[in-house]
Amino acid sequence: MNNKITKEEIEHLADLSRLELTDAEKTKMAKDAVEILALVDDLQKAGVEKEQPFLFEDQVNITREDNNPQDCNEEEFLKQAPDRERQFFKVPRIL
Amino acid sequence: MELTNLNITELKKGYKENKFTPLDVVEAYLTRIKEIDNRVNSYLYVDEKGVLEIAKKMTGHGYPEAAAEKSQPLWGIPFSAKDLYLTRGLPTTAASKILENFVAPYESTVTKRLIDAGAILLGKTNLDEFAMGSSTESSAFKITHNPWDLDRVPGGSSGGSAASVAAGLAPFSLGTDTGGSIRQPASLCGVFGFKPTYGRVSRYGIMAMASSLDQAGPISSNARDSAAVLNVIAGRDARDATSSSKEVPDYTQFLGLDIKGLKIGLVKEFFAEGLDENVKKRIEEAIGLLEKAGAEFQEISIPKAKYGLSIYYILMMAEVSSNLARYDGVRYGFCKRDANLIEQYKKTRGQALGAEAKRRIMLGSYVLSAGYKDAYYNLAQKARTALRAEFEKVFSKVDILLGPVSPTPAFKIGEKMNDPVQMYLSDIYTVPINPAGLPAASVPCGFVERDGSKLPVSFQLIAPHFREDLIFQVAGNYEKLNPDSISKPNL
Repeated sequence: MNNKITKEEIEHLADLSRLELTDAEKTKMAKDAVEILALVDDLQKAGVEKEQPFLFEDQVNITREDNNPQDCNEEEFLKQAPDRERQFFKVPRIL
Repeated sequence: MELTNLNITELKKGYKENKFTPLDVVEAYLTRIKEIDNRVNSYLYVDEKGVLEIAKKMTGHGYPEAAAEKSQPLWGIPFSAKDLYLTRGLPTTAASKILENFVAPYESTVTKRLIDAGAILLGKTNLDEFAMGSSTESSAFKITHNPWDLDRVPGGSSGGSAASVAAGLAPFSLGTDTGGSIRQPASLCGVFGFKPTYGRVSRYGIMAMASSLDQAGPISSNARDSAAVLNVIAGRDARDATSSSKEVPDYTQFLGLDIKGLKIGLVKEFFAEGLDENVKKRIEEAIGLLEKAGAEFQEISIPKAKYGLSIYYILMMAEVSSNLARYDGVRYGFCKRDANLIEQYKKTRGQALGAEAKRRIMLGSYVLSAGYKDAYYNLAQKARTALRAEFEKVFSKVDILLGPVSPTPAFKIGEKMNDPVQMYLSDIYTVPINPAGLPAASVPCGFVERDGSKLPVSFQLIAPHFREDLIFQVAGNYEKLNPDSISKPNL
């Protein structure tokens, strides 16, 4: 369907994907994307437009009390954080 | 007696008869890992100190006669796990730079159930980064070599797991299968690989790649060992809402049932162009053996199977793009600091995620983005409905399906790494199964010669939802008919 993907499109997708890409990566990505989309393009001719999109019919939402399961240790989780202050994850100022 | 050659049944028998202890077995594996794994590179991490401690304790307590058959059926059995399973207190990396220093703060349900059953986790095995690949070459840390020919790939993404079993570095391993990641490496390494029905095994604590397709399962030297492992890991888990509460039978009881009159379907579309002639020949020989044992074969057609690759790749990439959003350098993992939070996300992910992960995230964003969602993602979900319906229909005519696992035997390291499309095509017979959610296995069935190397070939069995029993029944019969199909390379 798409035989070309522009550099602007790649940059837009990288922005949506929260990825910083080098120029070389952008060039390779545009080429790969065209080839991969061509690979999956046969679906346009599969004649499935009238089907219902797939759903796990037997699945229902299950909720539970918002409590801390006994086997989770807060400190063990926080220890993995690149940056923290007391029991909080620390991020750059956003406002 | 070489302890590292024994399968689970043999190890259990040896413990029961006091021929050796868990400490003997664990020491034998640690020694062999030291001797061999610098050539195979199947492990990313070996918990030497931890396993010796556990094995000593077990040996001290002695064989738990009463518990061994009930609560501890895997007492003293070592295993390896793909480094996608969270294992509390141990490094857990998904073979990604973004998790290079991550230590899991909790345990996956599957590893917990195995440990509670007495199994001993030797270490964590290599994989394609976040389970994305078919050769284990996209690991950020090392390249795993096929134990049958060290110049070739072990397959992927559970390549380290399959190689660890084939090389005698673990009696069984845990893999995950999103589009063939248990079956294809098991096939390329000549070991048994089992992907259960979606929902049969809990996904809690396994890093998600594509949540509607991912399923955990065992890799072992034979079908009986996988059945024994599945007995322990299958079943409802309150922490995975998609796990099924259907009763878990004793899967080992099905291996001995005869297959007289069993109807086996051969999917026409799986024996078409692209299947290596020698691989095809081995599979036809396997069909011949099963036929002599009384199975009835018939050709069937699943016309939508030819869209399996497209359905799979579109849905998988879409799910990857959202599942991998969590790796942002805030709560865990690598972080490239920046004064601006959005820039920090982009730099962190740009620097620490590999090429294949980036490719799938980008294309996932594409197929979900405004303007393309209907043409790709929604269309693939419609095709998924149609594909599932076709599988359901053929299962009204036959009991189980048989086909190839991989179109070729193991390929050379580096051969497909720069051509993602060629790499994706190596999954052509395994990917249609995951959107359908069916159980399937890879059963070794002989060897082919390639450039002077003897390379293993497998056939695939595909059963209706929750009919794991039929797969074990056919595989058990086949192994009895062709005992030479179970063999290990000389390393």
